[in-house]
Amino acid sequence: MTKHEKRERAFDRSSGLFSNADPNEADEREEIDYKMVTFSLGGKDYGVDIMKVAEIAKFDRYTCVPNTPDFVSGVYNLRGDIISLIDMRRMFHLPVPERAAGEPDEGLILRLDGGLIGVIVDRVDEVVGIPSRLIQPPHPIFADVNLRSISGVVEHASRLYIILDMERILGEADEPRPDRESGAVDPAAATRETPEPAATSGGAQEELSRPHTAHPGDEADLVAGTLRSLSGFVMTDLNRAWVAQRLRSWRDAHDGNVEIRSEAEVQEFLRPFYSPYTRSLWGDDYLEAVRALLPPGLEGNVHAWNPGCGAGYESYSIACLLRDSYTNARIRVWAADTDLLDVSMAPSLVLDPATVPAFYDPFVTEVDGAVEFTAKVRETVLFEFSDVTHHQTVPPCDLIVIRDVLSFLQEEDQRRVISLIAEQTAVTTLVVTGAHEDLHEMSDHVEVSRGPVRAYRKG
Amino acid sequence: MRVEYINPFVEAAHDVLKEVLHTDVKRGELYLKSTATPVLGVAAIIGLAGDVEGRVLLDMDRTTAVQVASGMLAGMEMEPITDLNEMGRATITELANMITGRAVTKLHNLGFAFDLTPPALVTGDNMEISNANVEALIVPMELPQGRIEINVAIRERG
Repeated sequence: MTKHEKRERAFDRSSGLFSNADPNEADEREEIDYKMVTFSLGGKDYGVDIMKVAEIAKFDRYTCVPNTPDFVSGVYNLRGDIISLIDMRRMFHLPVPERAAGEPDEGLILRLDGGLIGVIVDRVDEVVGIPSRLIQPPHPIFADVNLRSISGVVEHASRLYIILDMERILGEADEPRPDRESGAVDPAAATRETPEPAATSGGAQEELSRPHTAHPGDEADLVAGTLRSLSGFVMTDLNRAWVAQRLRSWRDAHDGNVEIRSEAEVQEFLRPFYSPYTRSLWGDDYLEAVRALLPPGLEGNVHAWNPGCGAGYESYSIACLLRDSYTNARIRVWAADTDLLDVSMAPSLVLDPATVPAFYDPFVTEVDGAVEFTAKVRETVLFEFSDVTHHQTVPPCDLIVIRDVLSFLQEEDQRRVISLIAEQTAVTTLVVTGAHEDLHEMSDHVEVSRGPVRAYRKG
Repeated sequence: MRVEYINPFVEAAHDVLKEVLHTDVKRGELYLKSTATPVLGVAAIIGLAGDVEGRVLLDMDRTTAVQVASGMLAGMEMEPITDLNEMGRATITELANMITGRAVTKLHNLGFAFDLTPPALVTGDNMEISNANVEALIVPMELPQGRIEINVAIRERG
């Protein structure tokens, strides 16, 4: 392969900043053809086909209807449509946790063949995308819910979800609903008995109000599942604020629609997340901001750690900046990534001269019309094929650059890496994170950001 | 593990296996392991020291070991073996020596200085190998005789 071809390849690989995926995972990601909204009932995880879900809602004021089975909570005014509200816990004879006064019930509004119907659950969790071939037939031990109400069982992220067949449970089935205990209650009848808006005559009437369907936080929880399954982006306290804010601007740009389905849409959604100078050399503004944050006049060994280095642009930017800032120090940059192709090309990174800012002139040489870093700079950076989540020791570092990496780790790995950073760094160590990653939310680091650079130091 | 170290091991394993067994060798997808790695049953270990420290493990199950050893012996016009006898163990040990030796020679040519320890052969069931604070790179090789994993854990001397 010529240098030129190599460069083309390096430039082409623009997606997947920090790919953690093993090949099996990639296969599964391609086949996601079933999405379910997950929720919990009596401490167990359940799912329902997303095609049956009209919306996620919080029911805080509904009208009780006298003389109905106990699982019929009442009727609800959904923007003018009166729908009946079924409490799934009571229906399945599961314990109903006490709600604090004023706290709304969580639930789903389902669109079934027979029309809209609301169901109350303990907690609505997220939207999970799975390949439908993973769905297995139900086994009696899985649930306290009658077998015939279950359309399948699936494991996802080491949790077992029971997928409920809502059409069979709540729909207008001809046969009586098989109830676990007695079959005495017939929810289909409950659906049919949905009182007309004239329910105002009921003695237990409460004020009707619009459901709270527009909580940004709740919606963020829902896109979180899609983001995770289609891009590996994991929403936690680290980036929740960004997701909520992005969702608002996304809705404004998409006529109020917040649904994100395809991988392309997920990439589009995440585009503004990535930090400045992703997959390119840092520009002057970024270099100068980091320089201003670095402790002045370091000598001896100056070490930097750069997990998620990708093709190496960031690592070389760090190496050149440190060389330029500390002329008498021995600089070493430990760079690591899990993308084998990216990181193995990084030691021989070739650049297009037109893309190299003047700052780097002393650190590069021109070869065959392309530009590469001098041997001295290349010796400074040690590229490793390595996974940041594996238990490893971090060398004592003066600078840690971990941009847009933590957000693509599982939550427990995020916490582990952050505590590793906290344990193994000195008070003076500068930690540069992604532009939209709030390390302070996850550790006792305090923000010392400057200009385009989001950075932290130990508090 | 430093990216510069990866290719020499992959190439050496591929080339040596192909030469001694006169057969097609398919390289599987490389991956990293941090925790204890199960050992398939027959493992030849070679230690590395010098600029770096670590070890290379050549790992396969017993059936594969017998077949690979038989294949190598047949190549030298010697009697094939039916169980992992002394000749079989010596042959597998030698295979590990050849692969590691070739990889280290390639690394020497790139300017990295390594020393090797003599190989040791470990056999048994349900074994695991773990290295504190070092990730292992696994290079799986698919042969008609079975699967051989080359498990490399090296780190820079801190």
